[in-house]
Amino acid sequence: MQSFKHMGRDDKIFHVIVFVILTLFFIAVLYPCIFVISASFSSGTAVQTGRVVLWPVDLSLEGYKTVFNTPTVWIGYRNSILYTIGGTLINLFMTLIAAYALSRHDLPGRNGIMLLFTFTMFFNGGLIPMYMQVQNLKLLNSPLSLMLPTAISVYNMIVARTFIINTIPGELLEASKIDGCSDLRYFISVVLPLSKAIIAVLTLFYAVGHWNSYFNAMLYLYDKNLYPLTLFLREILMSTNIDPSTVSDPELQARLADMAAVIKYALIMVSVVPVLLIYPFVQKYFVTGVMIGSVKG
Amino acid sequence: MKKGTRFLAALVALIMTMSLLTAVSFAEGDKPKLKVALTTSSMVTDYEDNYFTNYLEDKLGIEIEFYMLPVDAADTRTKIAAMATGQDASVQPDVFVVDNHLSAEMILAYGQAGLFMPIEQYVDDPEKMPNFNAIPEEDRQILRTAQTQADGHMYSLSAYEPETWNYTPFRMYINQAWLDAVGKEVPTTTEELKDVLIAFRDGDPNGNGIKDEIGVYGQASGGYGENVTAALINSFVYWNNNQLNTGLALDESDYKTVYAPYTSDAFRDALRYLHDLYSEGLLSASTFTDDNTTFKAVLNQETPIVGLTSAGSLSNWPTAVNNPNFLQMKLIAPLTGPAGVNYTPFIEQWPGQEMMICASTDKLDLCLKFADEFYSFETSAIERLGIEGVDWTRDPAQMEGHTNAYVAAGLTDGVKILILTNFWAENQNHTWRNHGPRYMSLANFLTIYDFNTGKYFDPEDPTQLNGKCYEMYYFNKPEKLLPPLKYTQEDTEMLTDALTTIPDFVKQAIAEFTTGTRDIETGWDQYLQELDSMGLQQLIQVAQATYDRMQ
Repeated sequence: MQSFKHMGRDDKIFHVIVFVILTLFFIAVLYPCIFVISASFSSGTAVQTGRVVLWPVDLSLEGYKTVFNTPTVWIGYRNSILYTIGGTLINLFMTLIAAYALSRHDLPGRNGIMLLFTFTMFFNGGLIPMYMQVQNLKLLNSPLSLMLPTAISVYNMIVARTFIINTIPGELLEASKIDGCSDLRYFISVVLPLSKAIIAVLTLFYAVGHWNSYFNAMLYLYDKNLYPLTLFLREILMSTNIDPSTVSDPELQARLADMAAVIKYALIMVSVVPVLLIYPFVQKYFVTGVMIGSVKG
Repeated sequence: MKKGTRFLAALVALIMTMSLLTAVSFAEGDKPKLKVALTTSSMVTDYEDNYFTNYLEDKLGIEIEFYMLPVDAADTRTKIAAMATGQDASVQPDVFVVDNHLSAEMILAYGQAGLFMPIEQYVDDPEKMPNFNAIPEEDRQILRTAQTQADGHMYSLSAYEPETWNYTPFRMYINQAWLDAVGKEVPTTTEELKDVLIAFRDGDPNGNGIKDEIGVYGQASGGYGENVTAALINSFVYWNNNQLNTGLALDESDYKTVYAPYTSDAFRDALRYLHDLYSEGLLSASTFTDDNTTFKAVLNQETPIVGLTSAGSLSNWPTAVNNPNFLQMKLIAPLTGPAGVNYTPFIEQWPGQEMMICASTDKLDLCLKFADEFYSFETSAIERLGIEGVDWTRDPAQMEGHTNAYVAAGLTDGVKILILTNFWAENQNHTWRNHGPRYMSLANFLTIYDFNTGKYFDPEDPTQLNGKCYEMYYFNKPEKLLPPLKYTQEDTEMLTDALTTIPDFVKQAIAEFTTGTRDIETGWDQYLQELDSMGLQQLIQVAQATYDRMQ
């Protein structure tokens, strides 16, 4: 890139504008993060009365103490980790076998199958039929209800398929076949090792998706011991938002909200830390993987 | 090959672990099992190892199996909607405990769709529900009325525990330190208030040399008494801040005619008064726009800047007992308007619908026994107050020397229950946090003494306001209030627009009239016309018919 000094006048203006706009975006994204961190280390009183603006006020670890003393948080943590790992493995397995098969030009009915996949991106049965389906499969109140109905994301599958088509030349398949390699062997020994970048990206997409999801858990689970962390988090956050005029004892509701407000931000921190920790390790694959998959078709 | 096998093996192992997790112990017991769908609370740490669960199981000789419902009302509604389509007895609970998350219209719809069982014939049967039928006649009728839907059936059992504190959330506080600074008495009429506010405005009562004093400040969008304009309007006409029946009330000339207070001339006078305060710079326009965080922030400025506000909960002043801002404030009685009216937006507490019996249950008698148990005094008390002997006591020796404002005022003969812990504000496994039907009479509540501040009752303690509130506010209401109207499904469908737009429009109009965006003299007729075009007349007609039917 040309240094700023040597640019033409128009280019300079352009760069300055771009820089200013991006800086504004950056601040808009950064501010909520800093606020949550600051609020989590501030006293509940300071947060509730809006005295926390940028830096922590009345430094306090009260929120974290309460969070770490709440057994449900640890149950949720355990479950979220299990669901994320299990769900992501199922996702990867399903996505990769589908993507690989559909990347092969010699798959009979390939276009028809693709059409069916794409159809589900635009139309779906909706909440109630899905619930009945899960119920009829006897998956209600089972951890599998959080993993099987979301076993594959068509979008991610298309990204993976494009990646395989674009980066793994067909000649490799021919060469392997000549050496007597079966399709399964080719998939496991050639395609998978060459797809590390896309696997890393898929893992991140799926894992973050599982980690953050609460709706299916809310709908399909009945047993608190199976709740993921997000559901506990949501319950605590919701209890600060209930309109006191809709409950039978508003004074008690106000006191409850008071308490929830203290731990809200600490809990948000505790729940995002794992995702923040994973990001740096996947980041190096991230840009390449996403860019390669970005040309779909 | 190795890599792939490992991958597959890991996957299989994981799925198997998952399935193991699901196999929650289904130990065969000889006790009958009751499946209870229960709205949870994030502050209950454990439901299995829970004092209240164990108490119910031991007392009734049953085993409770939980189906957890979400904390949030909207989530609960989604989940019940999904369950209603299933109608599969093997996964359906026997009873629902919904913590008032379903509206009357929803209960009616699910009842008619066959999810909830009509139970009116059992409710009135002293054999089946002895505790319910032991409730004093007058209160029992209130419960029965609240439970009866527009189609004449009862699909739910309710919780009724009136408390004087919650009836009158629009408690007004004036800055006593400022009154002292400007040498004024506590105002008792709207005119005196204006006089005081002018003194606040001009006298720099907070002594910082800056004209930063806000006379009247509130939060119009608040749900628990923060809308100070509603408190002031009630010095002219009774209006419940639209918190029940779209703000409709009974005409005070006959207490039979349903009318809309916000179309009355007295209401117009109230708006003139508010507009007057506003144009004199005595009422802050941010009252109409601020949210709860800003509201609290303004009340708790380092240099106090608020002269008069109204709030239901002392939690608006965090740690009120030693909050310097709160300690300057003094609770005052509703002000008397020019026509002698001194109401407060009295919000009568009506029973919330808590429990439904599933129509598909094969254990009806057990369900009824379970439901009825909640209405016994002991169970209701545990549900609300926690473990006897730990969280509360009725042991005379321990209550020795304790009193409360109601007893001090001679309203009851003595404290009957003493609360020992502040368990309501903590994570706990003592109760289900008050989810479920229950009954506690108003008289009973007056005999409770809340010891959780660790101090004996002190009439001068600025945070022990329950007694003062009762004296100052409880009687400031019209003789008869409109009970919650239960519209039929057809009526609800017809009125949907009116029911949602009118309350919002009225609140918006109050803001506009006060700040002068709408002119109270020339804009009033147009305001009435707009209300009519939103279907107000039709709403009043239906409301009247519904009220007549309920009588």
